[in-house]
Amino acid sequence: MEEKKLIIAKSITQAVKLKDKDSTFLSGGTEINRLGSLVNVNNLISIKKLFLNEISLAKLEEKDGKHHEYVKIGAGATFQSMIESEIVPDYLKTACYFMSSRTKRNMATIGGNVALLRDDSYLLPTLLASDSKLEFSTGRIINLDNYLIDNDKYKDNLIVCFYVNSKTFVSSKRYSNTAASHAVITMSVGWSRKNGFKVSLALKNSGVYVFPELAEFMDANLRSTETEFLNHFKSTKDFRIKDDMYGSADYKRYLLGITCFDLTNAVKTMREEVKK
Amino acid sequence: MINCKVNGKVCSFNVDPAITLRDMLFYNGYRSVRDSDDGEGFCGSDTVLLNGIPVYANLVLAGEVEECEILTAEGLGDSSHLSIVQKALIDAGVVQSAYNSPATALLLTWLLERNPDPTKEDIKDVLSGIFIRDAGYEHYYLAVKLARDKIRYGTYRTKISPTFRSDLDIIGKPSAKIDGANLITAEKSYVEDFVDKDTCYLVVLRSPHASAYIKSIDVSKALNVDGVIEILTAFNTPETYYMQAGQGNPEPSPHDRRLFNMKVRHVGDRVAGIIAETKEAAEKARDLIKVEYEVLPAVFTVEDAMAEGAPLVHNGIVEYKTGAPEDLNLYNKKAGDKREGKVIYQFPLHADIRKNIAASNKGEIGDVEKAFSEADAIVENTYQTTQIQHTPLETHICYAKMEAGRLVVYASTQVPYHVRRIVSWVTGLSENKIHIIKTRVGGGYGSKQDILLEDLTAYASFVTKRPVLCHYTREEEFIASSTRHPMRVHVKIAGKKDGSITAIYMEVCANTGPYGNHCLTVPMNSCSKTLPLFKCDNMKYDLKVYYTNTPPAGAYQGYGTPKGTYGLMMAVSELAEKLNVDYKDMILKNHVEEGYMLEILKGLGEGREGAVVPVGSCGLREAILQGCDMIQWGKKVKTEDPDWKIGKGFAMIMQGSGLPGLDHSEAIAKLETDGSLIINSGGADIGTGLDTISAKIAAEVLKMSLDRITVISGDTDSCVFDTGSYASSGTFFSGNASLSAVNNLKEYILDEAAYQLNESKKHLVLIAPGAVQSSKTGKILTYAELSHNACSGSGYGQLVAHGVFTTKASSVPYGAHFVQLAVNIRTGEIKIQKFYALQDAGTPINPEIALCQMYGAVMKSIGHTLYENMILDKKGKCINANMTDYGVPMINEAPEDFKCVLIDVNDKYGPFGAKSISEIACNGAAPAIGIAIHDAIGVWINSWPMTPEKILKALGKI
Repeated sequence: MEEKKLIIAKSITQAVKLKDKDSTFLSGGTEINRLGSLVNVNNLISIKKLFLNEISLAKLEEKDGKHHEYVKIGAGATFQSMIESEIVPDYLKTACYFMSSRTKRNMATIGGNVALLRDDSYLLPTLLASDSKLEFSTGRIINLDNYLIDNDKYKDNLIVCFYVNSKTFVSSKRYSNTAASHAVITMSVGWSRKNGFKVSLALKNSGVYVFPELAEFMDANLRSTETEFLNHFKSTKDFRIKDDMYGSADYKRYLLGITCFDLTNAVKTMREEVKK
Repeated sequence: MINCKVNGKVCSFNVDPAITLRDMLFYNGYRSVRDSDDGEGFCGSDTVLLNGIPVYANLVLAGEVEECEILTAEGLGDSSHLSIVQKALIDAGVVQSAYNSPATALLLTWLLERNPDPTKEDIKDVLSGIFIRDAGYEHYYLAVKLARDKIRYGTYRTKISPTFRSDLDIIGKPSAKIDGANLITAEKSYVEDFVDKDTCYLVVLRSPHASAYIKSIDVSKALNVDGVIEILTAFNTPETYYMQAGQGNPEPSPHDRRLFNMKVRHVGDRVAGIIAETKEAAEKARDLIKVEYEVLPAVFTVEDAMAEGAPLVHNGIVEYKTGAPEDLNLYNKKAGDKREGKVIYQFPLHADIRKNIAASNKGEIGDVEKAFSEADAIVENTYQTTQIQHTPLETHICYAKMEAGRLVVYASTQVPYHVRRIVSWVTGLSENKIHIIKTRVGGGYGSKQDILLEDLTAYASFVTKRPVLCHYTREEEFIASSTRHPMRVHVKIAGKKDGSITAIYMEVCANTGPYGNHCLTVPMNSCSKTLPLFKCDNMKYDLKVYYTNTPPAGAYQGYGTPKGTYGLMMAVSELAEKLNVDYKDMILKNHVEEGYMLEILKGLGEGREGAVVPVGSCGLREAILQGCDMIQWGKKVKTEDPDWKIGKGFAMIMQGSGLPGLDHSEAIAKLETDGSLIINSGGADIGTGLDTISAKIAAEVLKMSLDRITVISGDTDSCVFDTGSYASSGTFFSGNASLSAVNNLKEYILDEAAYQLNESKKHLVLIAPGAVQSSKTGKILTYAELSHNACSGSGYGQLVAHGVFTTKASSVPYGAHFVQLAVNIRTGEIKIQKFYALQDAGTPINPEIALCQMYGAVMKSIGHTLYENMILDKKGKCINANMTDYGVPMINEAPEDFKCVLIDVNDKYGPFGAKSISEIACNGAAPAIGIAIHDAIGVWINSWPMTPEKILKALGKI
């Protein structure tokens, strides 16, 4: 491999123009620059000087023709800045805290964490469960689900911001050996009036998933007891799972069932509390 | 060119923008920005403030800081002008091995500037990106309180630590560690700070196979790489057999390796050493070396190794320096391929390499079988411990160079004199031609008791005549360093209905890996530091140590004791349950007390006959009783959440204070011409405050202030022999040697003063600060006057005293560790709610430092018990050889309520009554946690680490 080259992008246009197969956008650096990084390219295009870190309220027009309010979070916003923001929803702050190191949270960005699609991602399950959207430098806005499903199509695009719905109920849980270890499982369950339940998962050595079928069962109240959730995850073939150094497949399947049950109940409780 | 402000000054750095900010700063003199994790963003040694925000400098590229403002720890203050936070950290006792102490000072300064009154949670948050292995985290909270006091009131109002021995002025009272200021301000301290610019680099080509013969090595292409100077392999290095354990000579470990062997015995074993003018050239050459291996079957567990027909890890010629068996020639006829090499024993270790047995031992007192047959209840279980890495913040490092015909070696070592001996063996140089300089050590915990890279680095410099630096990567630390021996501890224990323990049998099978470093003594420790806790007339032990093809094992803080204590105390708890006796009552009924004769020690020497001695000073009972009160033993705690169950557990513990009859320490005390004092101690301060102990002892005896005393230690040219810092020997042995030297110097001072004052010595006393006074005439002669006179033509010359300490006396520290924890019965998660460690350390000379060592050791053992485990794949490769995957505990894993307590006991033999402190603190967590888990949910977890998955399996959930 040739020596690594760093280019500091001075504008979005320049950053996009520089992007090719042998380069990647460099944001916080906590994944790309670290030992064990899965990113293996020669050219790094730093987007820090683009200052894509604003957090504000924004309205988006949706299919129903109405304007819905979202929290707009710049792709360069750090985990810590989201925690310190008064408008970022608590469920996303919880996910930011999954990164245990404050120093790392000062560096890691929402855009970087999403774009890398890591199977131990801190934020992806939460953002997926909350039906978040993202916007590319082209101005195009898509659902995060689509970014995940059609990643080959979108991966070279520069994400400039995210739209997060603060009215969605989301509960998330992360399992790891120690707080600073890679996550074995990060699972989120979300519920919104418009879309009903949504279950998402980052599973180490496997991938990132959304389970629409399971959500449909939950919406129809066909999955509501602990046993039903345990059985579902015991037998489902919706994802790859294997014995590895993070635990046996049986253990992980069990945890998924228990956790999905608990998170669903937590979301239901939130919903009930709001109703009151 | 990168332009930025560093510590308020405008700077320009002519560097590649793609290098890390850490490299840009460190190699331009900002030593505080260190690297403990190869840029993993884990340990925090590389923390700086970038535009006022803490970041890991390893994860920022130089080009990104153009026009930015950077603050490094150098910007806080220098050693003559410490900042309030730097001083508070030293005073709190947390500046020990101190590799990332400057970074913690930076973070806490940042916190206090933003928030003058931080909560515990605020401090925890700010330190969440810092890994501390030596001192734990508790006294960081204290340091913040001290700094806050100083800012608010101009003085400390918070008590730093308890004090001991009111009859003494300095001993037993907190005082700043004497090297604290240098360490916290990142003055030249560690090996990497002494490397010359013209250094060459040594990198090692390591085996990808767990077991293989080397058929050939083609280095021709590698030698053609620009800058490559030499490539060392088994084909061009001496056939000298030695071992890497830093133990007293003759060592109770087999000499079973060369610099490079013709057979590789683990993934990561040495194949070739490449010396080049740049690291990049050395690494490029490494990639071009072609090695032809003959791959052999391997064994990874003791069960594999003991199986009939198992592949043999060593199958060469066996030799003995003494005590060879009569049938040795016959034995050697069964030797395999010549490439197997040799195994040379200094004396018999009861080994049989044709069965993979590296060492064995057994012994018995009383009649164990009879006691078992008469018991009311018997418990018999097997306990399994795992392979654990020390993870010092400073990875292994050595810098060697030839100077004036001598080999000078800068080493981060616990054993400078053993390093010199081993370097002498491999180079053939006599010891006067070798100068070992022990620098400050950025964490050892036993791993730097072994000579893991000093042998090769020194040899490389010797043959090339070039300065050579070798610095382990974090991965090498896992695969090519030493680790805690995995062990299988089988315990059978019997008792009567009245709660008396009547028989104990321990069978220990240890996995020493490919080489026999510490192979006999670590498992012996599992018995010799556990069985003597009990007043039991019938005890038996049987130890076998097996060679395997795992990464090497060696010394680790606590040695074999944490594993033996885990098995034995778990079994005692289970026996109490079976006999329907309260565990506390059973412990109180059976623990030893002062004066009890320890017959069991007869067979438990370091490979030789052990000494039967009585229990000396012993604060065990007080530790147990006080701890039971603190944890409210017997009072069940319930939670509102039905998923969480609460349990309590405790374990009694012991260790030693060096190796009586084997360890040996010396020191020189020298009165300088202005009346100040230099102590040249052979002891190796590895961050634990040993130099401070020597200084405080001298200050106490000679009535001097600490700032008039300098301690130079671990330098083989200027100091005198010491076996080193291991086996908890530092305070007891090296401290006693310093005490002996200053006591002798005191006599010389009085003699000289009597001569100069023309008075009888019997009328003279030492008075503070540093003077002799006549009780008869009232005359005062300061040390400055006395020493000046002695050295000015009419006196008897400079006052220099030598002290030696050896002993057969044993000063054993005791203690008890208590846990309250919560277990989630649905997820298997465990939370340590309370941890109370109570220890009798004799008179703690540095109480605040002693407490921090207890916190640090407990955190390590919590890690070993719950999280840490080196995982090997089927081919013997460690697949979690990095900090994130391995799983060390950090501040988020610390117990919610964590207290360490020093039991006040004055020992007869220790310097001013001191015993050892830190190793013992590794012993209690595993059994205490195991017992508490059982108390909470009714299951016994008989293996490390006690993971949620094991909990769920034990509960039948999966």
